Amino acid sequence: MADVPELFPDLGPDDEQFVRETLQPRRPDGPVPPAVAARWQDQIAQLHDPAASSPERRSRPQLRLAGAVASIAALALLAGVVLNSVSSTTTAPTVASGEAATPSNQDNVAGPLPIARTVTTSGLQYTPGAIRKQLQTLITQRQNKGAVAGSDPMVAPLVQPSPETSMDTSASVLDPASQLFIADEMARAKCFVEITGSAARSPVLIDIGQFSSEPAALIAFVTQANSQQLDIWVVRPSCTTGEPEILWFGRIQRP
Amino acid sequence: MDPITAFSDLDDRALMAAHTNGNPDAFGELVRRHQDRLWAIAMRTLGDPHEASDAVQEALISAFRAASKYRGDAAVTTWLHRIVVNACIDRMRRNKSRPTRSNALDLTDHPAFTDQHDRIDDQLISLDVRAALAQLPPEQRAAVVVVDVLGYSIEDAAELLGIPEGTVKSRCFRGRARLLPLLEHLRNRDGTESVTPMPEPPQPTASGGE
Repeated sequence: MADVPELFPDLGPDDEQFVRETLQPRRPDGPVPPAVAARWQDQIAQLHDPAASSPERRSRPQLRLAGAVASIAALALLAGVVLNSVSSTTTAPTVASGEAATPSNQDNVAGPLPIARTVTTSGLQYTPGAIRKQLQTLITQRQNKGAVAGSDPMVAPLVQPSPETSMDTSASVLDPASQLFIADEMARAKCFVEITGSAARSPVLIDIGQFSSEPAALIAFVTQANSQQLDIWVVRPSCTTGEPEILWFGRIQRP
Repeated sequence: MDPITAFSDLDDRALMAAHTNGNPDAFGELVRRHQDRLWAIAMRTLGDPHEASDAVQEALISAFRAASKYRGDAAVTTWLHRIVVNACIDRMRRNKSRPTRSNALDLTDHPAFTDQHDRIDDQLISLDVRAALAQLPPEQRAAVVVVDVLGYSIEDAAELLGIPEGTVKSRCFRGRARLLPLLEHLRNRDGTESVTPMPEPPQPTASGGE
């Protein structure tokens, strides 16, 4: 924002002194709450996922990234096939990352979420305060429509849009970056690698909506350390360029 | 070996170097060292624990990824603080028209937020100050917070904000001028005057508010 003159009355020395004194904190800054510090450290640990690229590895040529993208695509395809076969023959739980759930957490926890291989276009206006409820809606509708492991269409509008909370998501109206995000699975995989720092994590939900009235993609991954939590990234659809603009990140309990 | 023990002899620049060379614990240790200040900056700037938590987390992700671009021409702390301030400014811009609350963490019971040990008077003043600061455009708010609330010198604030010293001064001056009518009711207060309702904020000027 450019510095341009403003029409304010003169601020006399006494007034300036008064404002400065009033602004001074009444109490010292406290330490960061432990829960917040733990969340930050957890996020950093995820960025250091063993399968992820280190800062050094990140700076290497595109060839390595292309290999990672190919790997994640292959993993996603394989996982989808496995999920297809498993879901019809057994109730053995499998978390979205492909790891088997331990028997001890089977009784009181929600079942596994299938890997999302396609993009939905809910058009929802994501807000941090509403994301959990929005996810609940998206996931529930996705499950109801049977949009899992191969049966969901390439672009699946799930939520009935309302004028106040959604945008027009017909393909012809979506911005080019969103269209590319939806259409190009390999480019999406590049985005996922960049935001999670790992080629080994597969999203359980990918949705195009809006954030601050701008097109945005919501991508949900099962938290690595706790299958009952989701890591949520909201990014610009241009994330496919490999330079994600992260609009919001949060960790929430699974709906 | 415990990473904290292993890193105890390393200064911040050495930790940055260790991180860019692939040490998986170095960046976490760097954050641990400075997390309280990063938190304070975000809290003072944004005035909301949920927003502050998210802003710092975004900043840390950015810093983690951009570490290889750190040239060492500023202290690591300044570099980190700058990234946090920028993340806060970005959030202020995004949230200008809609206050947001994250439900990712419930922090409302934490002593840092309840002010339960503060006197009621100070609590009310703090709330008024927070509300008044929220009326400032993001760049002005950042300058005022860094200089007047966090106590940085103009020179350090300029480095932190990545702008010339003169710009820091002008933003602070205009920010204080804008704050004066919002805080006027606190002038010459005694124990009860601070409960006077705040006046309506001035309408934005045609200049766009900067």
